[in-house]
Amino acid sequence: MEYDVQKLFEEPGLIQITTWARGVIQNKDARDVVFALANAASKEGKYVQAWENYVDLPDRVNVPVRAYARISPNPIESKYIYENENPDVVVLTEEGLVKGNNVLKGLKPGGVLIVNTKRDPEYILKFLSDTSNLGILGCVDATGVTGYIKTLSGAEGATDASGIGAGVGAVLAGAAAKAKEMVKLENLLGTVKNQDACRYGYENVKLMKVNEVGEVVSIGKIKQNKYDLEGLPFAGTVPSPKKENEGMVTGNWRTERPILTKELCNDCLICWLDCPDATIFKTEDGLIDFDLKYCKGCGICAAVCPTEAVTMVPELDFVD
Amino acid sequence: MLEQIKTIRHAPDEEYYVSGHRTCAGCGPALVYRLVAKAAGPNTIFLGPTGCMYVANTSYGCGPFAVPWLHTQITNAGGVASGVEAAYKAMMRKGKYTGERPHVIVMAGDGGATDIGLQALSGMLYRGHDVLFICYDNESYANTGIQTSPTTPWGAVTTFTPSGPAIPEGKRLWPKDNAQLVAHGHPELKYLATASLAFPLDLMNKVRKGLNAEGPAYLHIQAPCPKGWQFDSDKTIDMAKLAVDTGMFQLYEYENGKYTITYTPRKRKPVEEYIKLQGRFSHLKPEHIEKIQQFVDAKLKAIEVEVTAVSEAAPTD
Ligand SMILES: Cc1ncc(C[n+]2csc(CCOP(=O)(O)OP(=O)(O)O)c2C)c(N)n1
Ligand code: SF4
Ligand code: SF4
Ligand code: SF4
Ligand SMILES: [Mg+2]
Repeated sequence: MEYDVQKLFEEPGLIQITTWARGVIQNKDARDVVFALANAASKEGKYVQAWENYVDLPDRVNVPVRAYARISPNPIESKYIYENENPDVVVLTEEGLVKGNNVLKGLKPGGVLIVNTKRDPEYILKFLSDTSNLGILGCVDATGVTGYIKTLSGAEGATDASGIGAGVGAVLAGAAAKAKEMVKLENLLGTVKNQDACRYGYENVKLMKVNEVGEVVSIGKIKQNKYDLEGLPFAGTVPSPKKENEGMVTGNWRTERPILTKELCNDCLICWLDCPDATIFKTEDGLIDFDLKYCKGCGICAAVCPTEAVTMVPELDFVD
Repeated sequence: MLEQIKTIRHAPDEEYYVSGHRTCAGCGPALVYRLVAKAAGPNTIFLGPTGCMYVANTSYGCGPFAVPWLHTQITNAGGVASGVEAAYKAMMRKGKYTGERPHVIVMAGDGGATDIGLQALSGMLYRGHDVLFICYDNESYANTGIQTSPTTPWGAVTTFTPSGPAIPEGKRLWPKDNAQLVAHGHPELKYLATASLAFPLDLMNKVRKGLNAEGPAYLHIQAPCPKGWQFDSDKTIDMAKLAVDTGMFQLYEYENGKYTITYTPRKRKPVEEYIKLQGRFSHLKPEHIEKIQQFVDAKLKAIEVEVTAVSEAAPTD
């Protein structure tokens, strides 16, 4: 039997907010965006929830992670569904996340994307694959105003003793509130620690209209999944990779890319031996090069190079 | 016999811990794994007790190990390793396996090696199994979100040792010295060493010595953890270097009842230089740092008294 999912799970007025961030170093700010918006909405008598994406935990430095909020005028019927499948608002705490991550997946028609970046919306647009549902793209230089809050407090469901919205998260929550009508600015300011930063985001986000609000399209039909039980591996045994583990491609973890200045490289191989991800290889011309399919952009190669032959360059400077 | 690697150019090209794992950008333990696997070569079986180096490496039904790798409980890696080694010996005795006996290497975290898995480690060493047991020491129970372990330094903040009005210093206990514990209670132990990511060739050569030894060997490798120690991901090697240059971590070997110090900093740096770069120590007051300095001074003095051999020249890599 087939159901029309759209009808079955329709929750009029429900707003889903998804924040994408880099694990560990921006996790707190990702949580702050969703907690600040949800808290502000609860002050307005709305039903709310906010949480981290369990699948992304434990988070690792630079790995893309997500945090979610739901705001509704009615009790939230989908509250036990793990992930936001059809966000109305997507927020990125770092610009490089537009590369290699399908951040607009499932976006509701007319949805909003807010990016922490110095760049213009036109440039960011180049990196987005399917923008047919994107209504508004907003860019704000949150890191230019304040920093990321790095703390283990509040991680993985623990009590957060550090307060909400002291850093970048406050700017981005303000920007999101401007782009999408969901909470009043004064209630948001009553929630966050850094009110100036939040106000800055609200007032300075550069908004660009991408599409008119389109027709609501059906999300899809529930299909009876067929599992290939015979094909499952025995007792958790998996084959060994030879050269690379293609089940865990990590190139989209980078916020910065290592670039070699060949003239400066003396082929000492220190970077080659010190890369935790084995993504530096020896080349035919006797130098080294980087395997960008897996390089996580940790910057160790640049830090250990005795001749400063490696520079870390923002990933979004490159269109490839 | 595995030869000692003289220069970086002699380090093998082959990788047995390949690209594609969910460890942090700049993860110290991941680099330890890569270097150990490179040094050990293809005829190796790894045992991975629960911890970051199990969970982050094997997420999603795949893994980066190009040699056989087996998960164990966090508690029992020493026991499982004993079984694997004994099984090969038995099969060879019965003529059921005629190849060269593989290296059996445990890669345990500090939790798995110095705390919850210590009993199985000690049993394995006591019985004399030909296994290289490596503790990659990131100084916390990291995988579960950074909780204190016996090797977490005094004064470090973890999620179980926060700094607050009642206990401003955070962690209140001095670290357990597992290498010392292992060295002096296990008559069958054939080789023991400490190693650091600051000297990758020295690290690989100690792995090879441990594997060449006929009988149990133990390596304690300090492995800076950008998530738990809270430093930028490009500083992993700097952190390792500062740890040995301040004396917070000491490099030595122990063989035939004799210690050899394998690295002595030309001029020892104050511990503050190491401490000030890590978020886990950011709450410490000058009097706290002074306490750590005194602890390190006393520890080095004790070692210098005990050490018989003269310090060797610094490893050149
Ligand atoms: C018997 C048992 N207790 C607790 C756990 C939960 N646990 C999983 S990983 C981990 C941390 C292990 O710490 P460590 O051995 O230092 O390795 P690390 O994660 O730091 O690499 C813990 C406590 C477990 N898996 N088994
Ligand atoms: S930044 Fe350098 S050291 Fe880090 S993963 Fe990439 S190549 Fe390796
Ligand atoms: S460390 Fe620097 S000089 Fe040495 S091989 Fe790498 S890039 Fe070249
Ligand atoms: S938490 Fe520490 S040990 Fe675990 S993956 Fe991250 S850096 Fe590595
Ligand atoms: Mg540990």
